Amino acid sequence: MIHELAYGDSEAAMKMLYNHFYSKLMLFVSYFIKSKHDAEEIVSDTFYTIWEQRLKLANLECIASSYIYTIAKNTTLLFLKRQRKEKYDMETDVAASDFPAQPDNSPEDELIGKELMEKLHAAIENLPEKSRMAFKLVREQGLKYKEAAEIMEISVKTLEAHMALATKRLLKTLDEN
Amino acid sequence: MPENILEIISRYLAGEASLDDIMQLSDWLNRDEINRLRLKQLKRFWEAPVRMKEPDVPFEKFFERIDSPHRMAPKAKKRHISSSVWMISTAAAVALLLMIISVSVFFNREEHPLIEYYSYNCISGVEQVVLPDSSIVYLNRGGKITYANNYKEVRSVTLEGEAYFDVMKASGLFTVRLGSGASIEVLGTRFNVQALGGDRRIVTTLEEGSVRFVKGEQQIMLVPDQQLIYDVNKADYSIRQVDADMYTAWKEYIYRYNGIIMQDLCKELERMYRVEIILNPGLKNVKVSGSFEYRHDLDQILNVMKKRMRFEWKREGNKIVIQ
Repeated sequence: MIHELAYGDSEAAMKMLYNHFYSKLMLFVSYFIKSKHDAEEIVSDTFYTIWEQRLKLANLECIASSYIYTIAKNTTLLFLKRQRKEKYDMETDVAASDFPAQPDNSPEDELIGKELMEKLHAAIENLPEKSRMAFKLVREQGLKYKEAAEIMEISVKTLEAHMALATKRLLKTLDEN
Repeated sequence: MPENILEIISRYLAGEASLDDIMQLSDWLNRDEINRLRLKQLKRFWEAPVRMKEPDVPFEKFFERIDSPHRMAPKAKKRHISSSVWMISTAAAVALLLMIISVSVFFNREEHPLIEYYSYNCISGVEQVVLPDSSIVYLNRGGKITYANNYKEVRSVTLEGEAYFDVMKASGLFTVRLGSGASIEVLGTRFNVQALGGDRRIVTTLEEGSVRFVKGEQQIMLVPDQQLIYDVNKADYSIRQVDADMYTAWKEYIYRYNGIIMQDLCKELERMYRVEIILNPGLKNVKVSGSFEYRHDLDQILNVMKKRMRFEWKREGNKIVIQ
């Protein structure tokens, strides 16, 4: 696949990569960025980087999803850094109401009603930043502990602590209702 | 509430739980009915679908932008960012030590879930790989192990070269697939597999538990300290009693060979040191025994062998010629 990207039918390979990762990366970037427009630009830049580096990527023999997330993260961090420098007006961010993309709830459920589901989501949103990130990387992005820890540049042990905190808050929310 | 139950529940939800976790979790579940309800609720929350929309910017539009010579009026700034991103990412990837993955089997992702294959290549020394069910694999130098992202449903790995397996007991078989169509099936156990000489000969040594070797119609069960040597070309096998430790010592960075023919040893050295060895045909079937350590380089090993076996060798680029 990466070989194809570098030497073979690059466009077709890139298209597959793009369609597979676009939504995942949009969601991922939304953990850091509130404006949908900015997120689109960052995701686009991420694919641009992958495209530009495709020949170098081939030398790596292979590529990991965590690698793609790492590119996305670095692009995001650079964006935020630049934004801080330019004293970006934060107000425009708040305006985007359809973003970040909220996970779908399943309202018809005997175990958890719609209301409780929303409370659980709120409990996750109210977690400290790192714990929230850890939880979302594992649950929403479906990453393994090791991959998520790598992206966050923390140890798996620390990631476990973040996950435990998330679970604790969820249990507390369930107990209160 | 046990201290670490929160971590265990988290691992369970994330599909990272070990057998030990499952046992502790079931203790906790049996303690109180409310615990059972809570876990069900958590699981329901965890599994609620995450909405993923189709890309808002279709690929064609994106590609037009990057592939046209006037794309985004190529800003010098952008190029700079890209290259520094590359530096950071490379570092992250290299830090992995093991080379990872590959993406394949794409097609229509609506109908076919994406299958990702994770490959670990051991380039030097001995590498430890922890599988999603916490089973541990030690890969010997030159070894390669591959598993798919559906591993949790089908515990199956593909092996090239040599590996030592410490397999967790869990429901369902654990299968090692070998290049030659042979496979090894186990429940939970410790064993060593060598696919020697480019998969010509498969040597399976059992340390603990039991394993079943399967090739076509043939099925062979092993008990601890037994070794099965399967000759792929002749479809012939032999079983012998061994000291299993001797065959697993390499994971402590010691390589031992006992009565292996020179041709097979050279295949091993080729794999481990990434060279091509041209062997004098007269030496092919000479049996050799001995051991060396990981820190030894190939020159040292060949020089020791040269004295004993009276051969001459020379290096020509990436080739080693043994006369």
